[in-house]
Amino acid sequence: MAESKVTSRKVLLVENEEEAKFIRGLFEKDDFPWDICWAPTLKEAAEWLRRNKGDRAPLVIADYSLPDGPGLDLAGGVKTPDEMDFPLVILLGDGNEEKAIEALKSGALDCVTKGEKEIEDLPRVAKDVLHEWDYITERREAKELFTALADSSQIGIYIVQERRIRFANLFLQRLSGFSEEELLNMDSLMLVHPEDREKVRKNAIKMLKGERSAPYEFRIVTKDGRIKWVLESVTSIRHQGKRAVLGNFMDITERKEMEGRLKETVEKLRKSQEELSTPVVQIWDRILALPLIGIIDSLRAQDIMEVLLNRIVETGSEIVIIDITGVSSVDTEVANHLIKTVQAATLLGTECVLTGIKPEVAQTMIQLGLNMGEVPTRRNMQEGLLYGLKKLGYEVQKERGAQ
Amino acid sequence: MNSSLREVEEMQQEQIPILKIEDFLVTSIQIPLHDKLALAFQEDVLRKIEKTNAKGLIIDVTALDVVDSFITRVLVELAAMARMMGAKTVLVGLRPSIAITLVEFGLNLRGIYTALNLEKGLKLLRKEVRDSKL
Repeated sequence: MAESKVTSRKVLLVENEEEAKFIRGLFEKDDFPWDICWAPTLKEAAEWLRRNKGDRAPLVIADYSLPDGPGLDLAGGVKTPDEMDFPLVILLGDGNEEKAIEALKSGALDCVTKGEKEIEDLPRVAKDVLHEWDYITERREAKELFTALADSSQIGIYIVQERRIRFANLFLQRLSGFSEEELLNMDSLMLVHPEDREKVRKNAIKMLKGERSAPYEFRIVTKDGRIKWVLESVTSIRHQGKRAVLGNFMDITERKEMEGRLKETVEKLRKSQEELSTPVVQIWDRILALPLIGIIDSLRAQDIMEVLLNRIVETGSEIVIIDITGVSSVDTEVANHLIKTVQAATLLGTECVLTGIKPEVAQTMIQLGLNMGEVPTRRNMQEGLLYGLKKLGYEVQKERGAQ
Repeated sequence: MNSSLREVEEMQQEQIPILKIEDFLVTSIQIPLHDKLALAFQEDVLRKIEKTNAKGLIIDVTALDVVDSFITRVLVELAAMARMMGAKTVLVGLRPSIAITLVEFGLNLRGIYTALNLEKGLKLLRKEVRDSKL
């Protein structure tokens, strides 16, 4: 949020009254809008901090030794400034190096010795400490943002460096069934299904080199041995100063399962169509009928030819009525299949009659310039049968007196 | 020249028998028909047609498991020559798998009638002869 003026910064002085007055004077002389507060004891300082929690963190300047305890107790036992809730400066009674080191190792950002020229510099030190604190906060917030984003994500996110996992978000932990501890420092390809490892390695390298932009699929094996399908992308990043790989992936197990079921269903349909595929019926002595239904593709056409020819030989048939009423569409390919079937049957001495040509089919065939050759055609099975009977020398007559 | 023709005749007579049934000739190809044999076969059939005044020729190929472009040409040529001499040719006993191969490769048996077996082949020829007498 933009601020129209430089807002004041709160400072909590934790010192005895006399010293506090002096220090306050120093700050008031400074042209920065300091807002100085005071607490003489550890207890009161802690109380104040509790009350003012939620506001922007105050700068706390505390004496090394307070009446009710060491000033460092305010830090709450942390070891680095990163872990602190506020910036802390410790005031030392004397230039004791050991105390200074102790303070810096307990989360303080700086130490200043009282009773020396140094103390007059306090406001400047305060400003420097605040700069550093702002920087620490920014970095911490960025990290927290990343973690919040990563952990709330419905996508698996991980960082791999030197072939080991260095970060694995909640989603990845849940999906894989491994805890964060188990995942950290795990070999990067451990989770990948053994059969897919080579593929993953190759695709990842291609993607990192910029040779591939499409995400790739592979299987992972969870802690309890289940297989999950994921779709992943990777990118190069710098992590803690060195090159690393940032990966993110979606769980596509469900999608894969659906794809599998779909394939199964299609295969079942195809099989059942095959079974209905070539019903060759002997409807008269030496006359076969072949009613075709559905889609005629090359595979089916081959089947039809074989079955029909074998039946011709088995039954010694001389006429075959091929009915195409049920054929969904007749294009060049289908017509060629039919022509070949007729030619093959002819080579066995059998004559074919084509029946059941629908208006649309007739249109298509003429428009496509398909020539069914000299294959005789009739409107329907009945007329086809009449044709066949006549060819075999029969005469069809109604009984005298019948309707 | 004469001696080699006789050779050819002898070779053929041993290998592909040609029988006479009614007004027709019936022959069955049981062995592979390579170059010299094919030529000899053609000549012998034609000579027999002349001798017997046959009106039809039935060629049984039941025993053949391969009918390639060469054999196809031999048969087509023979049928054309026989026709010139007034005899119709019927091919019988073609196996379904061979029929499919011929069709897939687009090999045509022009000028040759076909029938499923010898019986049907004879029926066909009788009918053709009867019709042509009209």
